[in-house]
Amino acid sequence: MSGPAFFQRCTACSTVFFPPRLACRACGGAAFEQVEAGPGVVEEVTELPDGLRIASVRARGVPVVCSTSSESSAVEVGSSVALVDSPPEQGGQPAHPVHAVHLPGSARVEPAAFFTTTHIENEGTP
Amino acid sequence: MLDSAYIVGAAETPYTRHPTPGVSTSGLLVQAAREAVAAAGLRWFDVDGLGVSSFTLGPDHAVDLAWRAGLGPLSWLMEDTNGGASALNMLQHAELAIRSGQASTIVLVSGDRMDAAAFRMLVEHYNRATEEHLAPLPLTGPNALFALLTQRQMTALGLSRRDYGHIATAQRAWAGLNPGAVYRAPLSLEEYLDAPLVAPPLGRYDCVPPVSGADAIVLTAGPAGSAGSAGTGAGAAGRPVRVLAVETSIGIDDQDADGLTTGLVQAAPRAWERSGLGASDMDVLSVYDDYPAMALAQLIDLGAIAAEDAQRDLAERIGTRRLPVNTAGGQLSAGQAGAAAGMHGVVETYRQLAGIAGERQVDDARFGVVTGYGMVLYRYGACANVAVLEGVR
Repeated sequence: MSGPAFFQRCTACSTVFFPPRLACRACGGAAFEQVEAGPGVVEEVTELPDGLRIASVRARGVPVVCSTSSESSAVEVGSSVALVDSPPEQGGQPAHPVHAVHLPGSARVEPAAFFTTTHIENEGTP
Repeated sequence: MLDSAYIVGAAETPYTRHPTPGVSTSGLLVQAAREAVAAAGLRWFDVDGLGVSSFTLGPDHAVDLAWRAGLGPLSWLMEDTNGGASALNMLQHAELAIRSGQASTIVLVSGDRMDAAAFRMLVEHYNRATEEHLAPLPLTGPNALFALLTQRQMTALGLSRRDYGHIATAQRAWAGLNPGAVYRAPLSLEEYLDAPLVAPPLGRYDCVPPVSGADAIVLTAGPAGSAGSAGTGAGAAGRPVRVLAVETSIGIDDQDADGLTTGLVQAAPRAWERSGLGASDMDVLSVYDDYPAMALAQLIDLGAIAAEDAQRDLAERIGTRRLPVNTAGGQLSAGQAGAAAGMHGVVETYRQLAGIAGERQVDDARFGVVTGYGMVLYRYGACANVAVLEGVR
């Protein structure tokens, strides 16, 4: 089951957060409501050795780290995307992996030159 | 209140890519702590303060370590959980404890036995945000996060992968002079650029090798005890090193900025003001190099490099090693021993200013600066701190 991703909005000052917080850094309030993330724009994207593409998407001014869905190879820097929350099918740890799904017909800019290299094979270490 | 606290001894266990069989985290910590006390010319029973940072010490805490290590009674004890910022966070507290008389001899020790299982546990369960929003992507480890950050810095400063290569190759050259570094063979710019990409634009040599090991320093109220009793040989203490300033800034933004500006933009000016010095006075520099982009960001925030000159300075000052940065090889070449990664730079800067840095000794090094950085809350590190140190002549 997947659906739209949700952000957290302070009911007092409307500042939007993701991931959720316990109190609002802007006004100090502690009452929040959920709002749909809405469409976002890919600001950066990278690719891990196993092929997983990780992107930073800004929506409602909030930067979200997300993966790109497997059918969305079109997600590049500048892409307009929908943020989709895909909880795991089974119970266990709370998990909210957010995927960026390309919106057909949206504008796109050319990816940066440093992303054109293709030989990705090393398992890196942080 | 005394004017100053002094670092009078330091030690680093051998770093190993794979833990030696039978070696435990607590064993590494005690080994480093005891060697540091011995190097200071002090006795283990002189220790009346202990600070510990480790990701893998659990279920034990600092008090368990003290007991098992035969320490006590202690008048000062702390445990710090702030990763790459833990060493200087402990130093900030310990310096005041010494100056105020709460303790007379404090050992600060950091380290981890970091095997593959411990490393995976660490990066998957780093914090709640990681467990809930990054690990399920599935994203394990910070490489992708800092790949995105490096892309932002490349755009902001007009840099290419080659420019970052100067950091990695220079630190490898320094590591060649450090018998304790895990990677010592020279690294050319071409080798750096040709290495497999890990998460574009990051390649293999932009990522630190996790190692097992520990680092420790000893602080006292005065320089006399150590300098007067300095022995001879490899473990001998050199000049005492005075702590001139330690400053911290945590949570400079809400994880919603580009991550290219660290808390050092707040902490460093306070440290320079308190020490009466500036970046240009520093003879040696140690910045927290979990990734080259962060090393550069901190050098800029310290005022050691101007953002508009970054490309030129990376080639002409860092690449040539005219600016002595991370002279033990840094994490990139010496290795990242878990929570010891922040203490590694403190130990190295102490050694340089004490005049005991061996082949890599920077001539006439008197003033040094060390930074800490870390604790990725969601997108990048939230903690930054800085210490300014002086080798006492």
